Amino acid sequence: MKKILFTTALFTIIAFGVQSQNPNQVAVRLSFNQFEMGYQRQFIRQKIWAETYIGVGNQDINAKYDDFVTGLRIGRYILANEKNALSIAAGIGLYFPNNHYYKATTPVYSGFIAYNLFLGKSKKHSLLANLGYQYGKKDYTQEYSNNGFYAATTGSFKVSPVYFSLGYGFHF
Amino acid sequence: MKKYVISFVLLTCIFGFSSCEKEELLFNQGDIKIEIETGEHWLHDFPLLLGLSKKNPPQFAIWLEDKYGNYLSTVFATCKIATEGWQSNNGNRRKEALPYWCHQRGVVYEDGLLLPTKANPLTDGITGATPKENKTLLLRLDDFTEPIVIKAEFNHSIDFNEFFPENANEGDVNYSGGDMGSGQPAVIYSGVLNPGTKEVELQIIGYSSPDGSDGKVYTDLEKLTTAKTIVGKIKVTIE
Repeated sequence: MKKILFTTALFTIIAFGVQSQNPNQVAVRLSFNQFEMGYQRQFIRQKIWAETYIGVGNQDINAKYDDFVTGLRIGRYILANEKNALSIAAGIGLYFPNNHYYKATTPVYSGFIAYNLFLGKSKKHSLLANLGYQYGKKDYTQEYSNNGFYAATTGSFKVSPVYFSLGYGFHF
Repeated sequence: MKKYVISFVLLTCIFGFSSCEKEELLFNQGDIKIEIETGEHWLHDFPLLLGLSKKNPPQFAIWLEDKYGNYLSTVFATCKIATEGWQSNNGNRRKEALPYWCHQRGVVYEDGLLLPTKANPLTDGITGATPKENKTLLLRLDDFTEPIVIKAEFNHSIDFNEFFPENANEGDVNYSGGDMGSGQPAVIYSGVLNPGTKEVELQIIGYSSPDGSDGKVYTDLEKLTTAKTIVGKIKVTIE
């Protein structure tokens, strides 16, 4: 128990101790189903960061990269040094499927670990990795009618639960 | 800091309430409810790479015919068959997927096949995402004074068995499209809904052409194994 407390305290002190000289970041991230660009800003003595992003995805019925995604993420550093930074983060966003068959604007919630590997001494460039879980589900109704009959059915649009992305960040 | 956290939590709650709404079909008196219950083999392993596979639901179509067997309209068809939305098919049109439905429709497309294309997708009926769970449809007929036939056809790809093996050669009676074809051919369900009937269950009547070359119904169902349990039950009820 004492070891756990000590380790937690040590990591907390390390996280508090790191002061980034480049509190802003623009990033591009690529996951299996999504490509996004984001702007991130550190604050509260660089312990907390917030990021807003927009991008495209392909998770709907036509599997084309023509869906629109946007959202907000907030993270807190749990471990940081000159080369690496690890955060726990949460996000909320919106996924807009784009197809001719249904409308299902879907709120998406995520919880994940975010990792930065800083390149070079200036800490202007980093490689990024996010891994976690996301939930987004929206029911929709489809209808059809012609001379003679009317038909309707319901369906559910769901985002992939696994959230894994790799990316590049530029810090300034 | 507290302000930001409270705002974030409030935004999450607002989003959460909006996504919790469940869509439900509203049935009026006289409406027809079609309920498809998934069977033991509704989901089928489709290999990806490196030994990984994913669970795929079947492609299917539900359509109406008159009492003489004339095609009236499609009610619902899954997206891949309705829009030529196959992934990684290398141009294979998969005519062995739902051949009975295709032949009953009788619509010939630009390449001479009876399958909808990307350029000319299905326009009669609902095109929907392939469900991984039970599916319910609402049908409302303007004139229900004559019996109506409801049919459905279901198919998995690469669903091979001893009667429809992967190594069957083109031209063999059990050839089903090769190593990326169907394996077991599509199964066909049918039921007649008479005015005044309260409920009917569609019954399996046979399977369609293994290679998609004709629109016949083959009734030697002993050659099908897991294909017979793709569907659990299809119940049609008049509300």
